[in-house]
Amino acid sequence: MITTDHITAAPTIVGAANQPAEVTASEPVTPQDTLRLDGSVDPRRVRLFRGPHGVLRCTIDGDRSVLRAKVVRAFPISHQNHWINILDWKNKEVCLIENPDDLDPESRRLAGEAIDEHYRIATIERIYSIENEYRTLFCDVLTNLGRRDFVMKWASDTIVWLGPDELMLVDIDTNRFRIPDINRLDAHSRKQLGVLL
Amino acid sequence: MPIADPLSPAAEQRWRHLAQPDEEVLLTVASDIAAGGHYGERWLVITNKRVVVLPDGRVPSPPGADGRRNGAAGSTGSRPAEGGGTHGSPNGHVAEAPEAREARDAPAAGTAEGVVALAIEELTEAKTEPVVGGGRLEVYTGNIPVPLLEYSSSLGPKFSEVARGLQQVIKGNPFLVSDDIPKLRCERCGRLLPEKNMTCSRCVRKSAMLARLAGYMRPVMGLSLLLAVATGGRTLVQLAPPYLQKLIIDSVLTPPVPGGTLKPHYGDFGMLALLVLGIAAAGLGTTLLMMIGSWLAAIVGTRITFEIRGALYRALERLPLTFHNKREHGALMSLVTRDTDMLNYFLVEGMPYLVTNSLLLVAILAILLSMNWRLALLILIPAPLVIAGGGFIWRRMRVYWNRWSQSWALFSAHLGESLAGIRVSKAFHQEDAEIGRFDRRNEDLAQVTIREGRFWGGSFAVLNFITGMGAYIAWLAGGREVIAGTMTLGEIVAFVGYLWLLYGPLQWFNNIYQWMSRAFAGAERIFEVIDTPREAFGSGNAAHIERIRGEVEFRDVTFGYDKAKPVLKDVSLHVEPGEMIGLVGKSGAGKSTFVNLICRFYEPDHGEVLIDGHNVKDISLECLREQVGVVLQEPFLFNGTIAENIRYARPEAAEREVVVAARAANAHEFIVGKPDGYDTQVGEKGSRLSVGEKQRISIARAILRDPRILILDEATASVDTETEKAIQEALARLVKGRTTFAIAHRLSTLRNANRLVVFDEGCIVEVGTHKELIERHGRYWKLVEMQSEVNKLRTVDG
Repeated sequence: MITTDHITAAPTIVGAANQPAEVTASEPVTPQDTLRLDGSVDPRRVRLFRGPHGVLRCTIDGDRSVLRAKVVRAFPISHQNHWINILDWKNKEVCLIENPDDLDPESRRLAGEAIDEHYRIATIERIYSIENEYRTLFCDVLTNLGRRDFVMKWASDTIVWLGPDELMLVDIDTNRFRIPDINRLDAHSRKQLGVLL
Repeated sequence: MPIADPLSPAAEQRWRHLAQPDEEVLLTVASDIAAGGHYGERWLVITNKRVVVLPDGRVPSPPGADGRRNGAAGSTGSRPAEGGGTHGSPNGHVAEAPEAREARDAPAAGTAEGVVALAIEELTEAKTEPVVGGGRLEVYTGNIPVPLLEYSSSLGPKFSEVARGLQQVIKGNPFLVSDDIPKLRCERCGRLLPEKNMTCSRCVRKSAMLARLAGYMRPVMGLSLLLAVATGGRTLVQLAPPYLQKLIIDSVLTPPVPGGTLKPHYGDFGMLALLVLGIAAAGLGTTLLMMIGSWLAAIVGTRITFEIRGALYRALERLPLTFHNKREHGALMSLVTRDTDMLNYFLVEGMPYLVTNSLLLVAILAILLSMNWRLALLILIPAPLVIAGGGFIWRRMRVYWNRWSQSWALFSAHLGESLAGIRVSKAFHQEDAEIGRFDRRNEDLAQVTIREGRFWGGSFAVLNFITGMGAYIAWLAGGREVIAGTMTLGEIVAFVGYLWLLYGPLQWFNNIYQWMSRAFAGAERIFEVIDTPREAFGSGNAAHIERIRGEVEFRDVTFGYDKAKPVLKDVSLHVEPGEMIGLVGKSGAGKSTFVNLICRFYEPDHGEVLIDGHNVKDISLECLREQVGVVLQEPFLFNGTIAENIRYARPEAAEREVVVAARAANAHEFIVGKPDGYDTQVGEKGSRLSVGEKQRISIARAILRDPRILILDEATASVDTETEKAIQEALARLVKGRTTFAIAHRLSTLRNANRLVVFDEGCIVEVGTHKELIERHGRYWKLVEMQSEVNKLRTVDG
């Protein structure tokens, strides 16, 4: 049985040709300084910054530096603002952060940007029309990213409730569209939404 | 669909300023995500010298360019709304001059006003990076990634192909890209398609569909003509009763007005009886013709759907796996069952109803207008309301039916899952939670059903009232004419009688149209499958190799089930006849995909697979599949006897051959140990047998096939050690003299292989014998080490 809540850091990965290399720490790492059992670290030791061409980098103070990092949500639907995972370019976990607010302001901002880069989810502001043709829905909407028409199937995994009034629609190409609060849509949009709800 | 997109005028103008002399444009493509991350266009121009990204002229700049690449993904919460930017002067000539200069002057990279230009010679790699809901095209300069542009998931396959083509240019190879890009929009009306490459439902021509359905009517043409006669006759007969009622009232029952026209049949009981008999005969005739019509319609409709269902299933059996992978089994089953049923229902019920009532409507309108055109026009006043009301009700009902269907699907899915997983529920003591979940689904279903019933009942009551308004008008206006003596009582009664015959169908006509559209859309889906190109079984030019020697070669093969995500990347391997090749690597490394290409379940996106020096595309598929045997990790047995399942490989095999194959597969003993021996029913998917038993039957099946190339895909992974030993013995007999590809996670089972091929992320990283690879201390050595560690742990635990 495991009795400690700390484990040692994962072995350092040496970058392959033409791929970003992972850089090891210059000082020895003690078990207390490394990842906790759930993969999380002390957020104060994590620093995110942009390298050339805007590529995101991550350094865990006294541990290692990742030359190309990405940030994903561990619970993208149930906990959008907590439990973020920093991964390297090979999708290997660098660390888990329970609350991004505990990061320094610049890293928090960059984590937010990186999440936005990774989750291309448009927010629907107005619904022009939704036509139902035998459980295939043809939608024409205005989003925060501009106007878009898309097709989706009427199924439980394409119309996803994120909260009591928050909805996510997934089209046939797996593009995602979010409605943060269906009650805040205008009357016409709500009427159109009635076709699928 | 072609991969190339012509440049927009704004992009064209920009490119004219940026193009270098003697620069050859290889490809121009548009992404659907503009700078700043909002929807719009950006253009990628690949030339023989450079890769250039151009923003569209209408695209606003991203706010706060903070040292990041101009046009990288948008910053948090600050994406501008459409048209809200400031960039993109319509007369871009002035604005573009500096950017053009900068981009043209920059040897490796130039970035200005959203233009990115990189010299091909500076690039080392091109790839796509998937994100949730889209992706990013990236190139590498040395080991530094440069994001070029983003695109939504809809364009994933296109940009995967672009990345592959760009990679060829970077490597110095000729630029070749596939034009087989899925079609997203209807080429005729521009509307998005319900699914990629599908036909547009809006552009389905109903007349063309009817003509095609009529083509299936040929075997029952005589009956179809009889049906038409019965339908027309019924219409005529239905028109008689109101007219006979008029005669009864006006000629027999109403006394003549003093000084008026003589009524020879007034008070004539014989005439009354004759006219009543006429009404009864019309009723009987209608009933008989309805029975005959229904009978004929059932035969004609069912025969047509029988033919279509057969054609559909034959098509499904012949379609390539790429088709089946893209479609859910449930959706395909729905095509064969629900859509054909819907078509049958429409042809049997809807079509006769539509034809009869259309004829009836025309005839009644003609009669009413001839009887009293002013009154006829008056009683038609509520008609638009009835048609519109009917349309509204059916539209709403479709929403309710969809909701009900959704609730029912969730309810039945939950029920099936919870019953299937009842052991787990009990083991974790989650019975109450499961009951709670069931209650919620049940309640949802009940609520939807109640709402549907409430709407149905209420709305039709209102519609019936509106329909009745025609009768009120008829009685009011007609009654006035009767009082005035310009119309008879019989005429008004006949008028009201015809009116109900008229309004009844009007209520339903809207629904009939929806019904027809729905049935035809189903038919369209069916015909789409029937018309999908099938696997090329033995085409005219295909080579028929009587006995394959077993030489297999992969030449630069790239393949992905989704073109956007290649699973095999530039794989090359040459295998001699009779060689045993062990395929090693992590899950998802590409091993199973490699063997799928040998069977030609799929065709490479790029490169060639050759057998005995012939491209597999040029070998008759029948001949190829007859000489390739497969033993899978999870053997699939069909419902039937053990003998039938072994014979699946060669139905004409004699009993002796079946027994010989079963013996060689170490299956004979357990088979004869069963009460029904080889006649034992295996159950659905072989559910009455253990995994080891099923596996040995599948090996016997492969032995009976006597394949020249044998594929063992994790054949011993799911069985205990003793069974594994029995299976290994059987396999050792099976592989003799055949080219064999064996996939196994237990590396010890591959030690006898002539060569081991190690896969990693879709590439072959090592090839050699077990001894050679161990000495090399590479990827294989690591896998062996890891497995030894795991085995040690198992030993300690055990």
